[in-house]
Amino acid sequence: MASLNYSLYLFFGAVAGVCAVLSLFLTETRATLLLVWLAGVSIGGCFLASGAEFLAIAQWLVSTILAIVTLFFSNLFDQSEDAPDPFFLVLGVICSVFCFFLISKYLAPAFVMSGLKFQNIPLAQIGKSLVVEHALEIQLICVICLIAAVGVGHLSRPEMDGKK
Amino acid sequence: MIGLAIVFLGIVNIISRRSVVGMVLGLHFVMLGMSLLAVSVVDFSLDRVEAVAFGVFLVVLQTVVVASGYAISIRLFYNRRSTAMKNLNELRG
Repeated sequence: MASLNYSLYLFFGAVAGVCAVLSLFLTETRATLLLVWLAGVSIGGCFLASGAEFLAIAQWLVSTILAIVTLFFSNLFDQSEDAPDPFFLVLGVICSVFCFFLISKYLAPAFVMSGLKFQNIPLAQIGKSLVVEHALEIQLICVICLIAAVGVGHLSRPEMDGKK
Repeated sequence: MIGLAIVFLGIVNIISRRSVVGMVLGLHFVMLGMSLLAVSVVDFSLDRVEAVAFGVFLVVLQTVVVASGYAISIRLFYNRRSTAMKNLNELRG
Protein backbone atom coordinates (compact mmCIF):
# COMPACT_ATOMS: atom_id res chain seq x y z
CA MET A 1 0.00 0.00 0.00
CA ALA A 2 2.84 2.36 0.86
CA SER A 3 4.50 1.69 -2.51
CA LEU A 4 1.22 2.46 -4.31
CA ASN A 5 0.93 5.72 -2.37
CA TYR A 6 4.53 6.54 -3.16
CA SER A 7 3.90 5.90 -6.88
CA LEU A 8 0.81 8.11 -6.80
CA TYR A 9 2.79 10.79 -4.97
CA LEU A 10 5.46 10.72 -7.66
CA PHE A 11 2.85 10.72 -10.45
CA PHE A 12 1.00 13.75 -9.10
CA GLY A 13 4.28 15.52 -8.41
CA ALA A 14 5.43 14.85 -11.96
CA VAL A 15 2.15 16.24 -13.34
CA ALA A 16 2.59 19.41 -11.26
CA GLY A 17 6.19 19.75 -12.43
CA VAL A 18 5.22 19.33 -16.10
CA CYS A 19 2.50 21.97 -15.66
CA ALA A 20 5.05 24.36 -14.14
CA VAL A 21 7.48 23.79 -17.03
CA LEU A 22 4.79 24.20 -19.71
CA SER A 23 3.50 27.41 -18.13
CA LEU A 24 6.87 29.06 -18.77
CA PHE A 25 6.41 28.96 -22.53
CA LEU A 26 2.70 29.69 -22.93
CA THR A 27 1.51 33.11 -23.99
CA GLU A 28 -2.23 32.51 -23.60
CA THR A 29 -3.34 33.55 -20.10
CA ARG A 30 -6.23 31.09 -19.94
CA ALA A 31 -3.98 28.16 -20.88
CA THR A 32 -1.49 29.22 -18.19
CA LEU A 33 -4.37 29.50 -15.75
CA LEU A 34 -5.51 25.98 -16.62
CA LEU A 35 -2.00 24.70 -15.96
CA VAL A 36 -1.87 26.51 -12.60
CA TRP A 37 -5.18 24.93 -11.64
CA LEU A 38 -3.97 21.49 -12.77
CA ALA A 39 -0.77 21.95 -10.77
CA GLY A 40 -2.82 22.88 -7.68
CA VAL A 41 -5.02 19.81 -8.10
CA SER A 42 -1.92 17.65 -8.55
CA ILE A 43 -0.35 19.06 -5.39
CA GLY A 44 -3.61 18.20 -3.63
CA GLY A 45 -3.24 14.70 -5.08
CA CYS A 46 0.25 14.53 -3.58
CA PHE A 47 -1.21 15.44 -0.19
CA LEU A 48 -3.94 12.83 -0.65
CA ALA A 49 -1.43 10.14 -1.59
CA SER A 50 0.64 10.94 1.47
CA GLY A 51 -2.41 10.54 3.71
CA ALA A 52 -3.30 14.17 4.42
CA GLU A 53 -6.90 14.18 3.16
CA PHE A 54 -7.87 17.39 4.95
CA LEU A 55 -4.98 19.28 3.41
CA ALA A 56 -5.77 17.82 -0.02
CA ILE A 57 -9.39 18.99 0.12
CA ALA A 58 -8.31 22.45 1.31
CA GLN A 59 -5.77 22.67 -1.52
CA TRP A 60 -8.32 21.62 -4.15
CA LEU A 61 -10.86 24.14 -2.92
CA VAL A 62 -8.33 26.99 -2.79
CA SER A 63 -6.85 26.16 -6.21
CA THR A 64 -10.26 25.98 -7.86
CA ILE A 65 -11.48 29.23 -6.31
CA LEU A 66 -8.25 31.03 -7.21
CA ALA A 67 -8.49 29.73 -10.79
CA ILE A 68 -12.04 31.09 -11.10
CA VAL A 69 -10.99 34.44 -9.61
CA THR A 70 -8.00 34.65 -11.96
CA LEU A 71 -10.22 33.90 -14.94
CA PHE A 72 -12.52 36.70 -13.84
CA PHE A 73 -9.64 39.17 -13.49
CA SER A 74 -7.99 38.20 -16.78
CA ASN A 75 -11.31 38.83 -18.53
CA LEU A 76 -11.84 42.06 -16.60
CA PHE A 77 -8.42 43.39 -17.59
CA ASP A 78 -8.80 42.04 -21.15
CA GLN A 79 -5.57 40.17 -20.52
CA SER A 80 -5.82 37.34 -23.03
CA GLU A 81 -2.11 37.14 -23.86
CA ASP A 82 1.03 37.62 -21.83
CA ALA A 83 4.22 36.62 -23.65
CA PRO A 84 7.23 36.03 -21.41
CA ASP A 85 10.34 38.16 -21.88
CA PRO A 86 12.85 35.85 -23.66
CA PHE A 87 15.91 37.36 -21.98
CA PHE A 88 14.58 36.97 -18.43
CA LEU A 89 13.17 33.54 -19.32
CA VAL A 90 16.57 32.19 -20.42
CA LEU A 91 18.36 33.92 -17.53
CA GLY A 92 15.85 32.61 -15.01
CA VAL A 93 16.01 29.04 -16.34
CA ILE A 94 19.83 29.05 -16.19
CA CYS A 95 19.91 30.47 -12.64
CA SER A 96 17.14 28.11 -11.49
CA VAL A 97 18.82 25.00 -12.88
CA PHE A 98 22.08 26.06 -11.21
CA CYS A 99 20.40 26.72 -7.85
CA PHE A 100 18.34 23.53 -8.07
CA PHE A 101 21.38 21.31 -8.62
CA LEU A 102 23.33 23.18 -5.94
CA ILE A 103 20.58 22.64 -3.38
CA SER A 104 19.81 19.09 -4.45
CA LYS A 105 23.48 18.17 -4.17
CA TYR A 106 24.08 19.59 -0.70
CA LEU A 107 20.63 19.21 0.86
CA ALA A 108 19.50 16.02 -0.87
CA PRO A 109 19.66 13.76 2.24
CA ALA A 110 17.18 16.07 4.00
CA PHE A 111 14.60 15.78 1.24
CA VAL A 112 14.49 12.02 0.78
CA MET A 113 10.91 11.20 -0.05
CA SER A 114 11.14 7.76 1.53
CA GLY A 115 11.03 9.70 4.82
CA LEU A 116 7.32 10.37 4.25
CA LYS A 117 5.21 8.33 6.62
CA PHE A 118 2.19 7.78 4.33
CA GLN A 119 -0.28 7.26 7.15
CA ASN A 120 -3.74 8.62 7.68
CA ILE A 121 -4.46 10.79 10.68
CA PRO A 122 -7.90 11.49 12.16
CA LEU A 123 -9.40 14.92 11.56
CA ALA A 124 -10.02 15.41 15.29
CA GLN A 125 -6.31 15.13 15.95
CA ILE A 126 -5.59 17.89 13.42
CA GLY A 127 -8.25 20.15 14.95
CA LYS A 128 -6.94 19.52 18.46
CA SER A 129 -3.41 20.27 17.34
CA LEU A 130 -4.49 23.47 15.62
CA VAL A 131 -6.52 24.78 18.55
CA VAL A 132 -4.39 23.61 21.48
CA GLU A 133 -0.79 23.66 20.24
CA HIS A 134 -1.00 26.26 17.47
CA ALA A 135 -3.39 28.82 18.94
CA LEU A 136 -0.87 31.65 18.61
CA GLU A 137 -0.19 30.80 14.96
CA ILE A 138 -3.91 30.77 14.20
CA GLN A 139 -4.26 34.20 15.78
CA LEU A 140 -1.33 35.48 13.74
CA ILE A 141 -2.84 34.11 10.54
CA CYS A 142 -6.17 35.75 11.43
CA VAL A 143 -4.43 39.11 11.97
CA ILE A 144 -2.60 38.71 8.63
CA CYS A 145 -5.91 37.92 6.90
CA LEU A 146 -7.53 40.97 8.51
CA ILE A 147 -4.66 43.27 7.47
CA ALA A 148 -4.75 41.82 3.97
CA ALA A 149 -8.51 42.31 3.70
CA VAL A 150 -8.27 45.94 4.83
CA GLY A 151 -5.26 46.58 2.55
CA VAL A 152 -6.92 44.96 -0.46
CA GLY A 153 -10.05 47.00 0.09
CA HIS A 154 -8.00 50.17 0.41
CA LEU A 155 -5.91 49.47 -2.69
CA SER A 156 -8.73 48.45 -4.96
CA ARG A 157 -11.16 51.28 -4.24
CA PRO A 158 -12.13 53.15 -7.41
CA GLU A 159 -10.75 56.61 -6.57
CA MET A 160 -7.63 57.77 -4.78
CA ASP A 161 -7.00 61.39 -3.67
CA GLY A 162 -9.89 62.67 -5.70
CA LYS A 163 -8.51 61.51 -9.04
CA LYS A 164 -9.61 58.58 -11.11
CA MET B 1 12.71 17.76 -4.87
CA ILE B 2 9.54 18.19 -6.96
CA GLY B 3 8.41 21.01 -4.68
CA LEU B 4 11.79 22.70 -4.97
CA ALA B 5 11.67 22.46 -8.77
CA ILE B 6 8.16 23.97 -8.83
CA VAL B 7 9.35 26.84 -6.60
CA PHE B 8 12.17 27.67 -9.01
CA LEU B 9 9.91 27.37 -12.06
CA GLY B 10 7.48 29.76 -10.37
CA ILE B 11 10.28 32.26 -9.75
CA VAL B 12 11.26 32.08 -13.43
CA ASN B 13 7.60 32.63 -14.29
CA ILE B 14 7.49 35.72 -12.05
CA ILE B 15 10.58 37.40 -13.48
CA SER B 16 9.81 36.63 -17.11
CA ARG B 17 6.17 37.79 -17.29
CA ARG B 18 5.25 41.26 -18.46
CA SER B 19 1.94 41.71 -16.65
CA VAL B 20 0.84 41.56 -13.03
CA VAL B 21 -1.67 38.79 -13.78
CA GLY B 22 1.17 36.59 -15.11
CA MET B 23 3.24 37.48 -12.07
CA VAL B 24 0.43 36.40 -9.76
CA LEU B 25 0.17 33.09 -11.60
CA GLY B 26 3.90 32.60 -11.07
CA LEU B 27 3.46 33.51 -7.42
CA HIS B 28 0.79 30.85 -7.17
CA PHE B 29 3.27 28.28 -8.52
CA VAL B 30 5.81 29.38 -5.90
CA MET B 31 3.27 28.99 -3.11
CA LEU B 32 2.19 25.56 -4.41
CA GLY B 33 5.78 24.35 -4.51
CA MET B 34 6.48 25.83 -1.09
CA SER B 35 3.51 24.05 0.48
CA LEU B 36 4.52 20.70 -1.04
CA LEU B 37 8.14 21.19 0.02
CA ALA B 38 7.31 22.41 3.53
CA VAL B 39 4.79 19.65 4.23
CA SER B 40 7.27 17.02 3.02
CA VAL B 41 10.14 18.40 5.10
CA VAL B 42 8.06 18.88 8.27
CA ASP B 43 6.60 15.39 7.83
CA PHE B 44 10.11 14.00 7.45
CA SER B 45 11.65 15.82 10.38
CA LEU B 46 8.83 16.36 12.91
CA ASP B 47 5.38 14.87 12.99
CA ARG B 48 2.52 14.07 10.62
CA VAL B 49 0.02 16.27 12.49
CA GLU B 50 2.49 19.15 12.60
CA ALA B 51 2.98 18.83 8.84
CA VAL B 52 -0.77 19.07 8.16
CA ALA B 53 -1.14 22.05 10.52
CA PHE B 54 1.75 23.80 8.79
CA GLY B 55 0.20 23.03 5.40
CA VAL B 56 -3.13 24.54 6.45
CA PHE B 57 -1.36 27.79 7.34
CA LEU B 58 0.40 27.82 3.98
CA VAL B 59 -2.85 27.22 2.07
CA VAL B 60 -4.42 30.19 3.89
CA LEU B 61 -1.39 32.32 3.05
CA GLN B 62 -1.76 31.37 -0.64
CA THR B 63 -5.12 33.11 -0.75
CA VAL B 64 -3.74 36.18 1.04
CA VAL B 65 -0.80 36.50 -1.37
CA VAL B 66 -2.96 36.11 -4.47
CA ALA B 67 -5.57 38.56 -3.15
CA SER B 68 -2.83 41.15 -2.55
CA GLY B 69 -1.53 40.63 -6.09
CA TYR B 70 -4.96 41.23 -7.57
CA ALA B 71 -5.47 44.34 -5.45
CA ILE B 72 -2.25 45.76 -6.90
CA SER B 73 -3.36 44.86 -10.42
CA ILE B 74 -6.75 46.54 -9.86
CA ARG B 75 -4.97 49.73 -8.70
CA LEU B 76 -2.76 49.64 -11.78
CA PHE B 77 -5.73 49.10 -14.03
CA TYR B 78 -7.53 52.08 -12.53
CA ASN B 79 -4.48 54.28 -13.11
CA ARG B 80 -3.32 53.19 -16.56
CA ARG B 81 -5.97 50.85 -18.03
CA SER B 82 -3.21 48.27 -18.23
CA THR B 83 -1.59 45.76 -15.88
CA ALA B 84 1.88 45.89 -17.44
CA MET B 85 4.78 45.44 -15.04
CA LYS B 86 6.52 48.54 -16.37
CA ASN B 87 3.77 50.68 -14.78
CA LEU B 88 4.33 49.27 -11.31
CA ASN B 89 6.61 52.12 -10.22
CA GLU B 90 3.64 54.51 -10.54
CA LEU B 91 2.25 53.07 -7.33
CA ARG B 92 4.91 54.96 -5.39
CA GLY B 93 2.65 57.98 -5.62
